[in-house]
Parts: sequence; C-alpha cells; structure tokens
Amino acid sequence: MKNPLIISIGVATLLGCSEQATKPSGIEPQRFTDAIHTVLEADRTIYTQKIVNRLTLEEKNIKASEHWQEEKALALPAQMFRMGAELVNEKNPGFSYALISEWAINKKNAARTEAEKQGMKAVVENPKKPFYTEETLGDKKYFTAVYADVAIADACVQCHNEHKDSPRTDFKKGDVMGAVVIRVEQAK
Amino acid sequence: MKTKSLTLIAFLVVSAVVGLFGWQWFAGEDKRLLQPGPLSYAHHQIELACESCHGDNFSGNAGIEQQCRNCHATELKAMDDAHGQKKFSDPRNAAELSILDATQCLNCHQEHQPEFTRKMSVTQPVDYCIACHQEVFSERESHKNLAADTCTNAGCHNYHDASTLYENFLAAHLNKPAQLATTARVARSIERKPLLRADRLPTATEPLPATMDAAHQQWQQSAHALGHANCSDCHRDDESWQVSTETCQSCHEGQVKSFQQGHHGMRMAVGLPPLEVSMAKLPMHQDASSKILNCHSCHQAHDYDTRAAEAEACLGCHNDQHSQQWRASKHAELWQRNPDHGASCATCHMPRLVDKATGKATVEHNNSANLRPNDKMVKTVCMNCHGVEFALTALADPDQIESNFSKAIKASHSSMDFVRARQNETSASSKSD
Repeated sequence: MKNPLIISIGVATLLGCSEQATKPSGIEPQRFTDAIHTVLEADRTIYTQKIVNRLTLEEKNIKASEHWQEEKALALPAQMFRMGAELVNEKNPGFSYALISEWAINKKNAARTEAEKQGMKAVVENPKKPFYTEETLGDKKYFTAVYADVAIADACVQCHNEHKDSPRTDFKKGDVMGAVVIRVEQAK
Repeated sequence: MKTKSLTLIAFLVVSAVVGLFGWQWFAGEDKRLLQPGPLSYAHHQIELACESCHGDNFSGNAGIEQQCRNCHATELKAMDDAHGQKKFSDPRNAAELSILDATQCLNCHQEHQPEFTRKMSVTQPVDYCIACHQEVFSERESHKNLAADTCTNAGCHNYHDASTLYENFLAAHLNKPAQLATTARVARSIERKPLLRADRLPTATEPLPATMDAAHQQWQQSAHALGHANCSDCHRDDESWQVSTETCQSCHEGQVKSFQQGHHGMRMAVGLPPLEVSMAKLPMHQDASSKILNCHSCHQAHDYDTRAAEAEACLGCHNDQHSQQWRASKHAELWQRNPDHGASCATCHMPRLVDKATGKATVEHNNSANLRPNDKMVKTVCMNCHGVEFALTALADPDQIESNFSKAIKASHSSMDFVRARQNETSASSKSD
C-alpha cells in the first residue's frame, strides 16, 4: 500500500519539476510593459512640465518647436519621446514603443494596426485601464500594450489646438490626446 | 570521328573560357569582364575595387549594406537622414516595409543595373514615394493634381536630406529679395599674420639654385610659411622631391579625408591609384586627360594661392557648358573683382563650412557633398547672397545651370507657391473662426 503512494508522490514531484523546467522564465510581458510605461510616463511628464511648460509658458525663456534644431528651440515632448524610441530601436532590445493618436498632427502617427485601433478606442473610453493583446506584424509575434496619453500641461493643449495640421482643436488639460503603444517580441 | 573532334573543340573552348574567368577572378587586376553590368555614375570610379562594396569575402547583401554604411553613414547622420533606418525600425511599419523595405540601401540603389538606374543611382520606379505617402494627394489641396513622378523634382522633396525642403523653412523665407542687401560669406579661420620663426628659417650656406630660389620666394609668402611648415616638413624623402598625399595628410587630415570621400579622391580611399582625368564621365579638356587628381592637382607646390585652386584649377580639366560659361557669368565678374563677393567654382562646389562646435571654418574638400540633389547647396551657399525662392528657382532650371545662371530667372518655384497658398488657407480659416 505504501509503495504506490511513494511512487505517486515521486511521479507528481517529477512532473512538477518538469513543468517548472518548461515554464518560460523571466518577467511576464504585461508586467514588463507596465514597468516600461511607468518609466516612459515619468520621464515624459518631467520633460513636459518641468522643462517645456516652465520655459515656454511660465518663464517664457525659449520656445518649443518641431524644427527645434533649425530654430534653436526646445524639442517638443512628442519628438523627445520618438527620438528615444528610435535610439532604443537601434539597439534592437526586443521591445519597442511608439506614440499614436486618433487626432495625430502627422497622419503617420494615427493608429495603423488592428491592435492599435482597438487599443486606442479602449483607452479613450477608459483611460485608467490599459489595453493588452497579441498581434503578428511581418513574420513576428508581439505582446502589445496600449496606455492612454493624457494632456498633463497647458503646453500640450495649446500646441495641439493651435497647430494648423491638427484635426482637433478643443483639447483640455486632462483629456486623452493619444496612446503609448509598447510591443514585446514573443518567441516563435 | 567527327563527333570526337567536335567534343574536343567544345571541351577546349569551355576550358579556355573557364580558365579566362578563373584567371580574372584570382589573378586579374581588371575584373570588369566579371561584372554583371557597369556601375552607376556614383561608383564607376571604383569598379576595379570589387571588395570596396562586396567586402573581402563577397558575403552577400548584408556585407554590401555594411560597406554602404562604412562610406555613407557619417554624411547621412550629419543631414539627419529623413528616411534613415531608425525611422522604420518600429514593427508598426511592417505593412509598409512589405511594399518597399526602405531599411536596406540596396532596395533603392542596386548597382550593375544601368537600364534601371536613374539620377542619384536610384533603381526604384520614379513614383516610389506613393508606396507610403499615397494620402498626400488627397489630403493636401496643393498636391491633388500632381503626378506621382514629380515628388523628387528639383526644389520639391529630397528623400534623405530634408533640412531645407520643408514647409516651415520655406515659409520663413518667403518673399525674400533675389539679391540680399548684405552677403554673408564664411571667412577664413586662418590668421594672416607673420608667424615664421627665425629658428626655422632655411639654413642653406650656399645660394639656392635659381629654380629653388623662386620656390623659396613663393613659399615665404605662403600659408605654409605662416604656419611654420619648413622645406623638410614636406620634402621628407632624400631621394625625391615628390611630396606624397600622406605627407599632406599628416597636417591636413580633415581635408584629405573629405577629399577622398568625393568623386575627386574616392579611388584613393579604396586603395586604387588616383583618378586620372581620362576616366571621368563628364566632358573634360582633351589636353588634361593624363592629369591625375591629388592635392597638387589644385594646389600649387609652393605658390599657395587658393584663388587658383578655387577656379582656374577646376577649369583646367572641366569642359562642360556650365564650366565654360563661368568666366562670363555675374558670379565670376563679382568674384574676380572681390573674392568676398560673387562665386568661384569652389564657392558653390567646395564651400567653406563652419564647425558648430569649434567655430572654425574649413573647406569641404568632398566635391560631391554639396552637389546632388543640388538643393543641398541652398543653405550652405546660395542663401549667403540670395533669397531662397530665387535660389530654388534657379537650381531647378537646367538651362540656368548650363548657362551658369546668366539668363533671367523665373519668378517663382511651385514649392514656394504651395507654401504661400497654405498660409492663405490658414489665415482664411482662422479669420472665419
């Protein structure tokens, strides 16, 4: 009677071990994208509020411009974000991030993939709840997370409302202006 | 018997052909016989250095891409490449890249394809922009009736270098006069004051031979004397008076490096002998055909007159219409009266540029950097004296270029008209708000 019990316990332990061995190790994709977003959001908030908003609207020391090099001005927060994303992509770290919007000034930044369209709609409706999904782009599979991008300073609202190519001109502080999309490449 | 003879002949012919190609591959210096087709204008000078594009191991497209970057990455980074690889590396571009993978140089610039090769060595069809920018024709009022093969017309859009041709820049320079009230040419950085140190004067105890004395006299007036470069600093070889490019490079490193990036010096950069004028594809003076291109081709050995290097040196070889017309041009007339005005050949094609970090002015010795597409020279040169619209209009007109800008310039360029129209649209809509 004892032997079958010992054998059962042994088999169960081995199965458990083998299951543990085949389980992917490392951080879960959702936890990873949440962490990346926390850092991105913090940096973006600091640059927008403490640098751009302060220097352009409060202290009026310098202007911010999309042609910041030519005009010796501050880079816009969205440009700062994209330059960082491009630098990250150059290192090919297995994840990427982008800024998209339903009201993009540059139409190339409108939601393009099905996941982006669904995610954009979801975070506009419920800004506090990120949207998570999986998608295949090219021949690669991605875990894709979409987070609301909210107007955190007067500078965001003023610039987008006044830009001649902006499709929406009634933004208010606190509105969802777009979304941050983070993708993590999945193993095939 | 007849069949055996034919077989033997066929065997011998095949062996001879295989042997010839094999010899060419392993031992031949001139490998043109092995090429699938001639190279584009951009690279024809280095066609004998296969490894300069293919790498030492002919490692396929990845190897060629790397070689592209080895030569062109610095220039593309400096212009903040508007369509650089980093612009497409986000996976959200996958659908567009499946139509035209713009992350790879070779997808737009194939070599050995003369029948498909257009200006700038582009091998994509001329309307390639619509692969990604189709929406422009419906969204932009000004672009609705434009043909898709006009995007890269002179003065419209520049694929890699968008530093001049963008709306805000053109808007900021609307309605400027053709001729600006003041010119803003970049001045030399070198200080023109006597620096010759007594302890570095030549110490010949006997009078110098007459020929050498003339060289000595010229040298004393030169920038080399001002900069303490003594006879032995250049004439380093006891056996010969020849001065090598390496010797020049030991002091003029930046100038030699940029010279070797352009059409004049690119052969030297890949280890080939210097360019001989007879190899050029542009019209050249026949009596110059045996001249070679190195530092001394433009700069005299001792009479360091850069004015000669700025125009006469160029015209000693170049014999196309544009060059021929220069002497009679307004640019030349003004420059000959006062080198701070007008324009020599070098003013436009090898301009003096200011390093942002050091503030030092140096001559761009890469003669190709400022040349194609020609709107590249609007910012670096034309705007020193002319309004942007006048410059763009002139550069977009092949007749103007051929006549060295001696004809009446048209009133406007369509790019500027589009910007004007957009400004009117914007001001009309803000009034109606």
